[in-house]
Amino acid sequence: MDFGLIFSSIAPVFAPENILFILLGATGGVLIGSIPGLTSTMGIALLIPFTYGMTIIPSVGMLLGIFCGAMYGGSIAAILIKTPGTPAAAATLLDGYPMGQKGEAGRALAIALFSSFCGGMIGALLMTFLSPFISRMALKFGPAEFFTLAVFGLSVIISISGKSLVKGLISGFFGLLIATLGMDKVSGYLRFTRLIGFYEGVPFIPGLIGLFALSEVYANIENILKSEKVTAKISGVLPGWQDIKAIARSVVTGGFIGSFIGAIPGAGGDIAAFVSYSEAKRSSKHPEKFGTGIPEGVAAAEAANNGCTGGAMIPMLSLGVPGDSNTAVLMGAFILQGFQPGPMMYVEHLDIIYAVFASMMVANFAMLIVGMCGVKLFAKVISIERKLLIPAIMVLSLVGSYAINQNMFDVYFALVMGGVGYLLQKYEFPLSPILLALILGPMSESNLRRFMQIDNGQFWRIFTKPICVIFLVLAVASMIVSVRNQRKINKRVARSGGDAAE
Amino acid sequence: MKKLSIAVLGLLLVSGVVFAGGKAEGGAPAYPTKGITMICPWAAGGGTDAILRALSAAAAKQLGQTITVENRTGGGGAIGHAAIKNARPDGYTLGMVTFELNSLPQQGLIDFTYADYDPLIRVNADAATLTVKADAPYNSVKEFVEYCKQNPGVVSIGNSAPGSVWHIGAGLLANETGIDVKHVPFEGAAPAVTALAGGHIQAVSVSLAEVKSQLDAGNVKCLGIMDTKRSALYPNIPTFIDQGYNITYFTWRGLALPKGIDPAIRETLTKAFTAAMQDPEFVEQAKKMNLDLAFLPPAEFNAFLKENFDAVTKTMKAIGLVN
Amino acid sequence: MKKANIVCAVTGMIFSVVAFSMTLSFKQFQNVPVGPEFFPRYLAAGLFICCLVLLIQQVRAGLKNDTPAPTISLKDKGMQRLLAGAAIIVIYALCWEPLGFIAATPLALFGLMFLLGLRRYPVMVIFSLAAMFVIFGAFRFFLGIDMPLGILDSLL
Repeated sequence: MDFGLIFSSIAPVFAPENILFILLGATGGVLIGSIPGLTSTMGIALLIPFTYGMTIIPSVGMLLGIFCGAMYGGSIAAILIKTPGTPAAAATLLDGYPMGQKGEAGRALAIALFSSFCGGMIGALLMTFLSPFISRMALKFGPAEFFTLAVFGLSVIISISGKSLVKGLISGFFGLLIATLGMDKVSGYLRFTRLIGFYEGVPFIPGLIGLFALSEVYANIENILKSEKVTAKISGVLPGWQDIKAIARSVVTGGFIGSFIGAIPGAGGDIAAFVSYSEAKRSSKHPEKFGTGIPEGVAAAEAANNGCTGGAMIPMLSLGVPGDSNTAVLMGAFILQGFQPGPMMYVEHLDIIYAVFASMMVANFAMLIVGMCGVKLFAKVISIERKLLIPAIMVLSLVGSYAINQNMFDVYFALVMGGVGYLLQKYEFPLSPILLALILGPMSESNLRRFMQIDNGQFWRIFTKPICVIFLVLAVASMIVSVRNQRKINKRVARSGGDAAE
Repeated sequence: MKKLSIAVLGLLLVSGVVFAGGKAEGGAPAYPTKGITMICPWAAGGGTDAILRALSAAAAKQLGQTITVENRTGGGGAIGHAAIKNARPDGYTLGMVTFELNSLPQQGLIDFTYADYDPLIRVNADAATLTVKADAPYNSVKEFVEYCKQNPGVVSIGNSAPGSVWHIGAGLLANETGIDVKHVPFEGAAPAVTALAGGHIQAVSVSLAEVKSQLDAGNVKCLGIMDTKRSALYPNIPTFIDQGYNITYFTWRGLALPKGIDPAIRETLTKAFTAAMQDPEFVEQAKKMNLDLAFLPPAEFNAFLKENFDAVTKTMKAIGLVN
Repeated sequence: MKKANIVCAVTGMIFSVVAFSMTLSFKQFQNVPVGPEFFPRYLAAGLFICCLVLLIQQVRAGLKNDTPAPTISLKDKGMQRLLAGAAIIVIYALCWEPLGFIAATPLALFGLMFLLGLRRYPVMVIFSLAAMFVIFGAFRFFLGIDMPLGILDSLL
């Protein structure tokens, strides 16, 4: 390594005005992430026009700030109002929201922030030192590998099903079936419906907002008189020592899982967070407490989705292959600045690469600072009177559904999914499997069909591909372990007679 | 509701004219007097969005009014294209139309065509390439075709989506050369190029800009470009015509207005955007994005649209995408 | 909960049968090993089986440990409020395009707060207007996203 070059390339990153841009980006990112419907991808895309007049280092710094900030921001809404602010925060709400309801919103936010920071740093460090090695793996992923990855992701449904496995599976199949509505991405055939809103498949973000936010609005309208006011104790802006010790393992594992999954093109923070959550639950000594509001659950999910930020940058920078939708838009920003990400970038613009690595770490620190300043403010949201909060969430949900494509169809779709989500939840069908199915359904289907087309319909060939075999084994193992765990949990609950898993 | 809103609007307009002291009396209408909305049928952050924002910024300088780009996405471009067509024809809303306008109607995905617009200018046209893995045994289009003929049904060509511009392009290639290949649709050009670099498929038929990074890296090679002339950036890539195959095929973007715009307003817009196309900043931006600027004035653009529509329809029928 | 679960299972089974039968009329593609009907068909079958399992579980389970299920009855005060609330939300969404976001939002916010039992009118008016302006302004000026303006379109 040429330390002189490293030093001269990262020096401009630490210029005061550059730090200011990164902080601005991180602040914007946290806000955008915390509003359901506004995703980090959208935040980056919306800010790109502002970077036209800037040089590469501040513009990339600002965009990375948004990217990292929004990943954490998503957890705020998940913890406070049971709606993932970004899809990647969907796993965070499994334990984050129960924590908020127990009056521990401040603690949950602090844990989410700390885990996001650690996960993000793990991702950034891996990106800095292992890029060339990891990027080689990214190219090995063809349709068959993606299909098995999706199957592995779907196996997580079992561990997030809650009390009744069969109800979790029903939710999962329901979600997978819904995901096939509209345009088939392989043949171009319109399935089940010819409505124009389904031409690009099921509108995902409006569906997410409907299922989680609007269903909650409906339920709150029904039960407004019964709901108690929740207050938030705030002990500190960072988790206490006891908490850090408890979550350390989940954070580190989550950071690595996130970076790894993030580095696979097409697999993003949402999948990583669920996989990491499931792994934390599997390896925990008290899996029955997952879902009731425990720090490890929040930590595992948040560390993984922020680990993804660094991971997703790896194939983008070193191969010119974006790791997820965020990095796809970021890559556009690089090209607009006249830099074509790809292997040549490491040869021709190594200084820029080093500056990007440094910016990524600064962006994580910026996110930590913004988050620490915000924890107290955000936690207050939960103690706003419900009668004011619920109407405001309603408007924000509809606006969020509209914002993605700026068309009314998405708003109506969100309203319908809200009704569906309300009914399912009322009869104790878990919603997270539906979300996972909406993400992974199209991925598994298109890739299976692509693979079958390339390999002339010979499915057995999947067993000749090592990566596929690994994922299939992992999927089967994860299913078996989860089912056994669930049995144990049910027995333990039955014995104690309490409602520990309620 | 609509009637009421029109009545209110009329009232407001009348009062506006009165208060403005009869500014618009006689002669050409003062245009533009307020900001203009530019509809982009594709998402913010994508290629169409980027080029449109750069062009709008250059044109805003000419018109002396701001131009706001509005992304009306969804429906594979159908929603945004419909929004342009249905916009109020007052010159304050126009938009970018793209190749999909000429491939969606045949598939029954939209119920209008290029003929429902008032075309303004063509902005760019990017030719398809035939790109294969760097270590593939064939080094020219001819060798590729021969390989495919010896191994029918073996080669997979990746494209950006079913019925998309590059799917039709690959179909055209297969049809014209009489080879039997498998068309594998991906979600966008980038994943298809990645799959090619990873050796999961044998070829892609996307634009030069989309394969550039892998080409520079030496992971893939371009066997030919479906253009009438060679690329200025890569003069060593021969065209299909050079190699004895009379195939040309492009994706394109242009600006269009809803029907029924005042000819004077149209003229103002044409002038402004024609000048914007020569703006050095815009040209620089297009170069960075590796886009081939291919300006056409309104009448020629209209003729091009018709010709392109007929050619695309013919190819789609030939490859069985539509009946 | 037993009865409710049985109803859910049967609904799910009907849903899957309908979906399955719809896949039978999908276009058949030539030269494609796996067509567009493959996934929906197997997923519908999977859903059917899971619902059947739920049904059998519930039928075999005794009534001893049964917990009371939430009911859907029009006589219930909460349910009436929910329906009224849903109506406000749906009408609100339908009003965006003709009436515009600016006009419709404060009305919907006010209506919903009233329904939820809030009666502090000054707070309600101020909150309705403030929320609308903050959301509208943030989207328009920071994010460049215009909410539908409806009748106000010609003014702005």
